[in-house]
Amino acid sequence: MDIIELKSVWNLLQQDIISKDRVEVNKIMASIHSKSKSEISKIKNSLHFKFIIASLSIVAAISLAIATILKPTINPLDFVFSPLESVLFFIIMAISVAVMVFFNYRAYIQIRDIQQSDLNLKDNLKNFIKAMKKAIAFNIFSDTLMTPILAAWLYYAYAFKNQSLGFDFRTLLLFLLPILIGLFSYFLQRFVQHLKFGKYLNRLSAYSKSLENNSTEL
Amino acid sequence: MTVNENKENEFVKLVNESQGIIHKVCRLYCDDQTHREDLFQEIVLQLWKSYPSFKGDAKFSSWMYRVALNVAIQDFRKEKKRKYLFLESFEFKEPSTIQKNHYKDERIEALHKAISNLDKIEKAIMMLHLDDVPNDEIAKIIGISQNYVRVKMTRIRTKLATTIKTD
Repeated sequence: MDIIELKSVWNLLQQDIISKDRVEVNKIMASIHSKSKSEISKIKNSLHFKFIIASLSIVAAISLAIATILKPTINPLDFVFSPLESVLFFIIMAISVAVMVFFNYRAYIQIRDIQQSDLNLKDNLKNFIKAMKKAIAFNIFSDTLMTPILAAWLYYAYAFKNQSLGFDFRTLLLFLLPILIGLFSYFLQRFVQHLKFGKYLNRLSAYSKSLENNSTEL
Repeated sequence: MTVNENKENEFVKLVNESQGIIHKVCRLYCDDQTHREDLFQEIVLQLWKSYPSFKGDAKFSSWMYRVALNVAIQDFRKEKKRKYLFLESFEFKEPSTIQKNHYKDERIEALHKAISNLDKIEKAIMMLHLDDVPNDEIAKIIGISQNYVRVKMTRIRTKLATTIKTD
C-alpha cells in the first residue's frame, strides 16, 4: 500500500469515525464535570483514602496517649501493657504513622502532578515513568513501615508480659525481629509492586528510550 | 453568565470543532466500545484540566493532539490474575491491540488490522502523518527530530505494507 492509497483509506476511516462516533456538545460538557475513571485516578483516590485513615489514626493514638497520661486507670491496653508502656506504644505508633503519611503524601503528589500535562510525548513519558517509579517507592516505604513496628510490639507484649528488659536472647530478638520482618516486608512489597507495574513500566521505558536514542542520533 | 461558564463554553466549542482528533485517538488505542468511551471522557477531562496552560501560541488542534496522545499512551488497564498459588495479584497492562471493530469496507478493515500491529508511538506518528500534520509539527508533538519523523514514517509504511500483504 503506497502513501496515496494509505491516505485515501485513512480518509475513509475518518468518515466512518465522524459518522459513528461524533458526540453532542452536552456530552463534552458532561465529560469536563465528570470524575476520572483512569487507573491512575483510582490509585490517587486510594492514596487519598489511606491518607485520611492514617491521619485519623494519628489523632486517635495521640488522644489515647494523652488520656493514659492524664488518667492511668483508663489504660486501654491494660491487659498487655502498663500505663507507661501504653503511652510509649501510642507515641511510637503516632510517629510511625506520621512517617507513613509523609511517604504516602509524597506518592500522592507524584501521582497528582503527572495527571495534567501538555508536554511533548517524549518529555511527558520521561516524567510519567519517573513519577510512577517515585510514587511506587514511596508507597513501598509507607506500606513497609508499620509491619515491623507492630510485630515488635506484639512480640514485646508476648515475651515481656511479666518481665522487664535485660541482656538476654529475648531482648536481642526484640531488636532483630523488626529488622528481619522489615526486610521481608520491604522485599514482599517490592515484589507485589513489580508484579503490578513492572511489565507496564518496562514497556513505557522502552518507548521512552527509543525516542531518546533516535532524537539525539539524527 | 460567569467567567467560568464563559471559559467552559469557549472550551467546549473548541473541542466540539476538533472532536474528530479525540475519536481517532480512541479508535487507534482502544479495543472495545466501553474502553473508547472511557478514554474519550478521560481525554476531554485532561484537556479541560490542562486548558489553563494553553497559551494560544500553538494551534488548538496541535495542543489537542499532544494532550490526547499523552493520555492514550499512558493509559493502562487493570487485569485480575492469579499467578502464584495464594497470591491474587493485579497486573497493569496496556490495552489489547486486537481490534474488535468491524468495517464494511475491506480496505479499512485491513488498514485497521495492520495498525493494531504498530506500537503506541508508531501509531501516534502514523496518525499525525496521515492527518497531514507537517513534519516540524509532528517533531514538536512527539519531541524528536524532523529527520527521525521521516525515518520512522518510512519504517511504519513498510511495516503496514508487509502486514497488509501477509494478510
